[in-house]
Formats: sequence, structure tokens, C-alpha cells
Amino acid sequence: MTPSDADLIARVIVADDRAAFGNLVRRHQSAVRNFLRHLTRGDSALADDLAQDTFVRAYRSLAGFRGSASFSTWLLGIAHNLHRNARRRQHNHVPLAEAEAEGQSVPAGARGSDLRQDLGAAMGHLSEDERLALHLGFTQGLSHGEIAALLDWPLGTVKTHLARGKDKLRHLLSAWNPLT
Amino acid sequence: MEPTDLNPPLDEDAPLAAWLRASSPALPDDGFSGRVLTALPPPAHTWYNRFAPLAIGAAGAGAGLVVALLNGASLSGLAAVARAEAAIGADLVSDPWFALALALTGLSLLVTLLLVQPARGLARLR
Repeated sequence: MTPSDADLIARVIVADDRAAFGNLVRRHQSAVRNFLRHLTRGDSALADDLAQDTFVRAYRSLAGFRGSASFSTWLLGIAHNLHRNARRRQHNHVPLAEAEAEGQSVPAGARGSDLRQDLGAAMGHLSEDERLALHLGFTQGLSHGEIAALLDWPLGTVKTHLARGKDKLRHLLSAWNPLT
Repeated sequence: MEPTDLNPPLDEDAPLAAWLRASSPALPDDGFSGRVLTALPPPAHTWYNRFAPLAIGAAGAGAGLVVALLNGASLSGLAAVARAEAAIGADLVSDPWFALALALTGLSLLVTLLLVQPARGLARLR
């Protein structure tokens, strides 16, 4: 029988069971690394460094995990904070305007390009917050309440960013049709 | 009233969700978890965890010895008592029923250790 996250967390807290923590890392590494790749705009090396820091921080703070959110949501919250701190320290993140210019450089809706390329181009037209809300809501499958708690946004802000992001994508990807 | 913490209906957003999930496929571990485990801090209070029971036992025995000496007991008298206790212990162990009970107790403690801490218990056995 596969142990639950709660079982593994209890083993780590009570007995410092490193094997149990390894199971937790293997179980959640993909979600955390994907989230950080999204935040770092595809810089996989930086994303993996931050993901490693995320799990080490989680290990150190595990006794403080109260279970009010799921373990995966708690990890994403740590990852988000670490990314924000790293960005503050470095001051060299890609400006939003530059990202938008990158998005426009790809011919959105061009019939010959594949869906992923068009989706990437369309995402470039969204604001950073809209992309973040869409990633957490649809890629990570978080509820509105979980996104609000994770990002410390009011619930209405989450809904607004999701609605605007979806509307923009519907418009930009109308050539693919399934959303209209 | 609309629930405030639920995702929108799936049928409306399913194509978008599928597109976004397809753009972020699951990542293989590829040694990532091993790197994380290597980066973890060393076990805290290793010395304390390993030697604290021995230190506490030794301190208790020492305190008992001091109290006995302060109450007029001689070292030779204490040695005689210890020899008598050891003889009683040897008699008990030579009793096959007592030896069987002792073995069953040890076995149950071992099983409990393996159930509560499988990884650590197995590592200790190896």
C-alpha cells in the first residue's frame, strides 16, 4: 500500500526518516520544478536550484506544517517565496515588456505552427499575474481558494486574473477553435 | 450563492486545462531527489541521540552508588550484593521457560521496531 503524504510527513518529523522524505520529493518534484520553470520563464537550471532549495526549506520547516493546505500547495508556496526573494536579490529578471515582445515574435495563430508554440506565444500576451493564476489553476489544478492563499491575493483578484487570462487566450487561440 | 473556493465547471475549461497541462508535462526525477537528499542538513543532535541513554544510565548508577556509600555501605558489601544478584540472574536464564519468555520479548520488540521505523530498523539489521 502506498503511504499517504501525511504518513510520510509523520515519519520524517518523528524519526527523521530520510527515505520517507525522499518519497515525498519524488512524489512532488515534477509539480514544484514545473512551477518554478514557469516562474523563471523556462530557465530550467535556475528552476531546479530553487526547487532543491524549496525541498530543503520544506524539510527544515516540516514540523511547522499544519496541514491547513495540501502538502503540494504548501511546497508551491515555499517555491513562490524563494523565487520572489531570489528575484529581489538579483534584480535581473526578464522585464514583462520583453516577455511580451518575445510572445509577439512568434506568429500567433499561424496555421503551420503547432499548438504548443501558439500557446506559448499567446501566453506572452498575458500579464505575469494572469499567467501565474492560469498555471496554478489549470496546470497545477489548484482551487481558487488555494491560489488566493498561496499568493496572498484576495479571492476576487484570483477570479479576475483567471477570467481575463482565459478571455485573452480564447481570443488569441481562436484559430484553434475549441475554446470559442 | 456561488461557492467562493471552487474551480469553475470543468466542461467549459477542459480544453484550456488540457492545453496548459500539455505545455507542462510531468518531469522525470533524473536524480533530482538524490541531490535534494544530499543537500539536507546532517541529522540534528546525533551525539545526543546516540549517547544520551547511556549517559543517563551511567549518571543514575553513579548517583545510586554515591547514595549507598553515603549511607554507610562498603564497596566490598556492594560487590557481594552484585554477585548475589548476578547469581540469581544466571539461575533465571538457565530456566528454559524464562529464556523462552525473554526470547519472545526480544522478538516482539524487534517486530515493533521494524513496523514503526521500517527504514531505520532494516538499516540497523544490515
